[in-house]
Amino acid sequence: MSEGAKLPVIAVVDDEEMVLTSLRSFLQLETDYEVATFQSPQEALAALKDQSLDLIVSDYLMPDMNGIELLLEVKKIHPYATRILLTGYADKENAIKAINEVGLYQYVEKPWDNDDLKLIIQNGLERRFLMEKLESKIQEVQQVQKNLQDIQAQIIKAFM
Amino acid sequence: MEALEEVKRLEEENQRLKRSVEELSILNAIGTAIGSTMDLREVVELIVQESVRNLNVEQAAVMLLDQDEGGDPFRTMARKAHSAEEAVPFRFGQQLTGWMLKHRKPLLINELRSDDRFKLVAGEEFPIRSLLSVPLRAKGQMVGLLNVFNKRDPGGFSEDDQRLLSIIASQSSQIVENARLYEELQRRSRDLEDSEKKYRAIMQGASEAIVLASSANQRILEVNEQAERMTGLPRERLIGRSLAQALPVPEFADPETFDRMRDGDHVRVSFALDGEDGRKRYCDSSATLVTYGGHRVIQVICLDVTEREQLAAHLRVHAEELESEVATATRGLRESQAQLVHQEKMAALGKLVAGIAHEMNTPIGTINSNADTLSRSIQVVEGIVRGEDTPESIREHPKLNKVLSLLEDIARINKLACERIVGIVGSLRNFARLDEAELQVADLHEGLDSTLTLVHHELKNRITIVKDYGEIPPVSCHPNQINQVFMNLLVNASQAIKEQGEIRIETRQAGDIVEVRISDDGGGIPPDHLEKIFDPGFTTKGVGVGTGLGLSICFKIAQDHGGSIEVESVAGEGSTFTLKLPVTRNGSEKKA
Repeated sequence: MSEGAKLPVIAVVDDEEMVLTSLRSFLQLETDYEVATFQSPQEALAALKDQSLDLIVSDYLMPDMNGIELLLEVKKIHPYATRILLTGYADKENAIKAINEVGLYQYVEKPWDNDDLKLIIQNGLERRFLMEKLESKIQEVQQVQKNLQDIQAQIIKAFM
Repeated sequence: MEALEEVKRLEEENQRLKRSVEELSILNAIGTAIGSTMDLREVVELIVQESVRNLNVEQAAVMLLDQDEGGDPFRTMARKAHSAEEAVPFRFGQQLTGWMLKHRKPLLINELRSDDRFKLVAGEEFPIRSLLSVPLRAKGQMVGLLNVFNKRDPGGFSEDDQRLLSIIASQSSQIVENARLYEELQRRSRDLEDSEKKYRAIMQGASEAIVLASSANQRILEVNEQAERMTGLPRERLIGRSLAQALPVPEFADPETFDRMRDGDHVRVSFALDGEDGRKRYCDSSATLVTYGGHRVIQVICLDVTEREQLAAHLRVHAEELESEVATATRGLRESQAQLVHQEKMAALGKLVAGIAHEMNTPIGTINSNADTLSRSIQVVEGIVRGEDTPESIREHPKLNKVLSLLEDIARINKLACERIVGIVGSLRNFARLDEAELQVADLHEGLDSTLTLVHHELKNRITIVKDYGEIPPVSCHPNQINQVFMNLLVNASQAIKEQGEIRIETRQAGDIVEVRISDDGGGIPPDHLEKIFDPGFTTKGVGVGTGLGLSICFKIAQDHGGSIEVESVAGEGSTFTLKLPVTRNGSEKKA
């Protein structure tokens, strides 16, 4: 899945340090991803402006800004990054509404299962890279098309 | 001179004798006349007549003291007068009687107009000039007056007249009194007869049955038509019978009853007898002593209350019906109240549980994840230690190996402990958020089978599962919730069976309802637990084994599906839980 030496970059945001530590430990043990953890949405947004991001996992209920709002902001900076909401918030209705509004990739309930989460993250990353690939293919196609159009223009010019 | 005196003396003697003879003849006449009759009016008229004749007066009158209270104390019984104008004026009559009543002694007046006592009422034209009045006495009591008015002789009344009138009065007063008493007696007996007649008329006209009986021997003296009708016996056969024979009243056979009546008591008894038409008649009776025909007799008044009794019986039936209706309604209310209370409890608990579950999610999620990570980490370390490239001193290091196996144990137990907590939090959350899953049309048999697979480890080798699946249609439900119910019921059933046993699963359709019965042959549920088993928090399992939420969750799930869950249990023989679900859900379902 990794193209070249570039490792997937994952961000985890939760106001509870215990969750951050727990997730970071697990991901570091089980994967080669680059894991960045942030204890507040503001902190995350400030850092993510200047670095690449492939996937973000965010808590829902946090002071000042909730997970949905954060993910909306992140979407503006890193449109291809996969967005996952990890929540202990018991209102599934709102969560589903949010998923539709923000375009979440997945919604995970606390307490989470490590294996499930790992699988979701793997799939999310794959999706992200497929999207990127798709994008580059589209660009390639567009380039080819542009080239063809140029050639066509030259041919038309030559015959005229 | 002597002879002259002698003649005069003889003449006087002659006169006196003559007067005596006269007096005697008067008295004789009066006595004879009076003795011939006992009629008061006749007696009095004779006295008046003889007095007028013998005393040579214009008028005479006998006035009797009235025994009755009130009004004029005297009544004029008889008067002999020559003309109406000569009659004694009323005003004066009262003055005279008033005086006599006060003084009770003879009164002699020869010149009324100049008499100080009566001057005011006896004017110029007054018809009475002279009068003589003597009291009539019987047994020392004044019973009346004998009056004579207007002496015809120019000299007026003399002492002799007064003496003569007094003699007449004393002779006649006892006779007058006797006659008066006789008259009184006659009047009384007439009254009595009248009242008896009246009584009989009332008795015959009464709508109640009336029986009169002798107070001496309780034999019936008189009955009315109603009594004949009531007893179904004619008057002739009733009269002469004893009360106790005629009326089925045990009290009438008891002499004490009549003693009580003599004390003035009304004896009230109710009885029933067979009427003319053979139907039972119910009577209320009141017996008391009354005076009838001058005797004290027992009067029994019986009121036919058959209709009232029938009405009362009707009312009783009606009241009983009402009572049972009320009881049913009350029971219904109580049940629905209990259900409401239960629902309230569940709702409150739901909120509480949701809060707790929410608060626990993050810490338990962390611990659970860490336990897993720890377990994986230890495996990694172990992998390295056991690796081919690892020096033997490390690979076989006893302390390191001991610590590794210890860590492995701890991590494994931590994971188990966490899984259990996660499971509990999960069921708490399920309990609090029953409405979130999708409504689907599901085959309950599939659900039962998959649940059986899940609980297999609880049952294996110990419990036989008997499936008795009937033909049931797919049911509109939340399958995961229904499976949770199956899971709960199956786990409970297996826990009820201590060693070897059998769990029977039956399904069948009853109209629009699908029933799933899960029966075990375990220990059963004590009756005092039966009503509490659906209460949240009620558990008989030891601490840590059960949360006490299982059945209350099942209850809520069944309820939210528009169905119910029921339990039957016989201690020592086992329990049966029946889940009833409607095939299709109607509008009563909870908002999704």
